[in-house]
Amino acid sequence: MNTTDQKAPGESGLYNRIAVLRAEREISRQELADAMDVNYQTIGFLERGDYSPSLKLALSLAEYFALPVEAIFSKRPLQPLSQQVYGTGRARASHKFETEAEESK
Amino acid sequence: MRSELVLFGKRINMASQTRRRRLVTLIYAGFAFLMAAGWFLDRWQIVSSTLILFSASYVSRLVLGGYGTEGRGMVKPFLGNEVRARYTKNPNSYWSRLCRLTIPNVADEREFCSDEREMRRRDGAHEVAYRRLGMVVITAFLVAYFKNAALPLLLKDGTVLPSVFFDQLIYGLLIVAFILFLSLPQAILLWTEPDMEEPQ
Repeated sequence: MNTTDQKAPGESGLYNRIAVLRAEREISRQELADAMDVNYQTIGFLERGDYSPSLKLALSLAEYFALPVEAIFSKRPLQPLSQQVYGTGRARASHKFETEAEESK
Repeated sequence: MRSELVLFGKRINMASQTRRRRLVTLIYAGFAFLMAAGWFLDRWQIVSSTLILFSASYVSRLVLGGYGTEGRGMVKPFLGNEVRARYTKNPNSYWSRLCRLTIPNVADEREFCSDEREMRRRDGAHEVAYRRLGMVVITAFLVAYFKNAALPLLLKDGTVLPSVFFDQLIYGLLIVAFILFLSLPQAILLWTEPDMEEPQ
């Protein structure tokens, strides 16, 4: 996946990985909202980039996911986590493999 | 904001923005009808103005929410966080006991308090409502100014305009200001909040 393919953020102008992190950990919006002491709809707004959180909420999310804030929020498009973990070469090879597999169908 | 409106014990799903916009339109159409009826009834004098003001208070408390702390209506109490903070600070005080008796939702934080996004939206809606309300009050002032200061100078020849017309217009504008004061911030919130999602 090309980083420039990433969907533009909403009104907040911030990119974030909350949806990915939440899916990875298999937690619902409601569960995350309860942990953050906010309304579940606020989590939806955060995920879509329609709301920029307060510093307190951003830090709470970072603490909850045990990640630095900059791994969750960014002003620039975020790289896919797989690309960050495995490096661009392997990610590109994986992307090529997926594309070829799709084409062959 | 709540996704359901409880009206006379009946739960109405209001998660859709279209539905909420219809509700706001219906409410203001109702107020417009009452204003028109009040004009024909007694020119917004004591009977019609009382009827309109009570209706506005009733709709604000029961349907729109926001003002008051009973926690009824679509919008959570504007002062919910402040009341809740005072309540939890000293739950055994006379004030807190009175709260438990008079405010059914005070112990339910989710139902009673707004989170940071809702607070930000609340403040934004009040800012917009403040400007709209200001326009109505300024218009009422300008009508009064025109009647008392400018009109006598313009009509030096002794022509008499029915000053009662201006009085009624000012009165009508002040009733509109009262309606907007009680309903506009909540109406802005209901109008602008996107479709609500189900918790996943």
